[in-house]
Amino acid sequence: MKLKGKDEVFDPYEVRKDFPILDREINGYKVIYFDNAATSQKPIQVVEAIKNFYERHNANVHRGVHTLSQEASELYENAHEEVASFMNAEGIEEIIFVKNTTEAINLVAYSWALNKLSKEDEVLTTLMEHHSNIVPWEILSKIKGFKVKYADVNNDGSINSESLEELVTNKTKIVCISHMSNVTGAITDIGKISKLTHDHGAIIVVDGAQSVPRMPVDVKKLDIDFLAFSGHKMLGPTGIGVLYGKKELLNEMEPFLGGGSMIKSVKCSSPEGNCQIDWHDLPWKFEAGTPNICGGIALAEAVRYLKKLGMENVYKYEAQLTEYALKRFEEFEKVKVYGPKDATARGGIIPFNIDEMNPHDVALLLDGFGIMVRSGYHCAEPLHRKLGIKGSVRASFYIYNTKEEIDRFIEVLKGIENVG
Amino acid sequence: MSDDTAIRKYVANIEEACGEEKDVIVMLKYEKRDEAIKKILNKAKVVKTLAGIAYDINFGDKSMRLYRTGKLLMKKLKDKKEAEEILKQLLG
Repeated sequence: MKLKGKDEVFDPYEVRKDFPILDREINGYKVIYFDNAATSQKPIQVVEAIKNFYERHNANVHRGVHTLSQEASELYENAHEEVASFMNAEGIEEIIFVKNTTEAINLVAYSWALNKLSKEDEVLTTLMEHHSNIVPWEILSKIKGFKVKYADVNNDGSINSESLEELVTNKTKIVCISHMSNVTGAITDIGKISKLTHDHGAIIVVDGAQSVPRMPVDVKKLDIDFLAFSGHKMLGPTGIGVLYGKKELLNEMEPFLGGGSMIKSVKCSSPEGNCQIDWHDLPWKFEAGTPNICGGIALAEAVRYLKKLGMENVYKYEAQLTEYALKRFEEFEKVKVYGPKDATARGGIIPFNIDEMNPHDVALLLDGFGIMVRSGYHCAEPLHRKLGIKGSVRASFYIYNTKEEIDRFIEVLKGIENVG
Repeated sequence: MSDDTAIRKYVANIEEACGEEKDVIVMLKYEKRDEAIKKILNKAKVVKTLAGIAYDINFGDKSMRLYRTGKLLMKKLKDKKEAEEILKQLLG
């Protein structure tokens, strides 16, 4: 997707008013939060939604006939609807609340792949994936004996389409791929890959942990079978994430977790026989036990916040910040930046290294100036090895970051480059 | 005061950082950081001061960077245990 990155979209200084944490001083400096690919900050609207739920509506969902339980249930179900409309899903049947992206991918692995795959089959993923989209498939391959293949990446960390096309065969049953790299921000053309996947009779599982918070994602337009993402990277609280799945696929899947709330009935007719269990309707069949009710409701508030800004505007604004930062990075002699050169081909995520400096060292020095960035492998060791680097520093932007903050970051980085 | 007590007194957290080389990042307790930094600087050899924000220090054959913010980056260690042994000596 390419959009012009020059337009005025929203006023980030107005947005910042909703994020009191950004007024904090750390180590004597006003905080600059550039660790958004790890988790975003939360606006007061989300904090208020959490407070309001516990102060006014707290009760368990689904099981109670009393007023508070009804209110909590309605809020929780509406939260599913809010998320469904955010990504143009058919309805709440296709939206399962889980803990995070990792749990969502594991749900697909253990509810779909465990029952469908045999040792002749293949799972295709890529070298740019977060460990959460590698490890579940590797674990399952040891149980089922299927092969996990890895498509190559280009020098800028984006997917090598030729490699992917070569590796998809009629043995491929699942293609699992990131929509946006959590290291380089490189955006993958999911529409094209989903067509390729479906042409080979496979399903596509998309890791949307970075893309869903940063750009419009329409599951119908992109023809995505499963989409996994986390609430905490998109203004929501931690401990709540989403698995979107096409209804027909979810219907044919067995549950991942068994327990209360996910069944219609459990009939045990005789002491010797097994019980007869009827699963609940979607999406509850996959939400066993008491769910993260408040987390789901707060996630819906986060989604409302993003909808108000408009996801195209979020994407455009990040592209503006990224373009500006990439330009300013050109002023360095010893800094190497990784990822696509075109700011519209990546999210607001910029990994870099200063010469031979240890990335943790750079992050610790920046911390001394109140600038929060991440360092290391960012849970993507294969990509770092492929790029031939021993880790990186990652600055990642979001809706409340400003060019002014980038300027200060660059000036501090110049000082760090000199002291080495 | 035993060596372990010194770690408990001054250290909030010891983290093995991910990355090719085995680096360990030590977070000193916020309220004790000035005292801990002073102790470390007394025992280690200061190789370089970085604009008042950090010190490059050597202790034995190990090189480290100590930050005024109360963090210590210990480079190329075997594991966390080795970091603890060094910390016992630096803070004891």
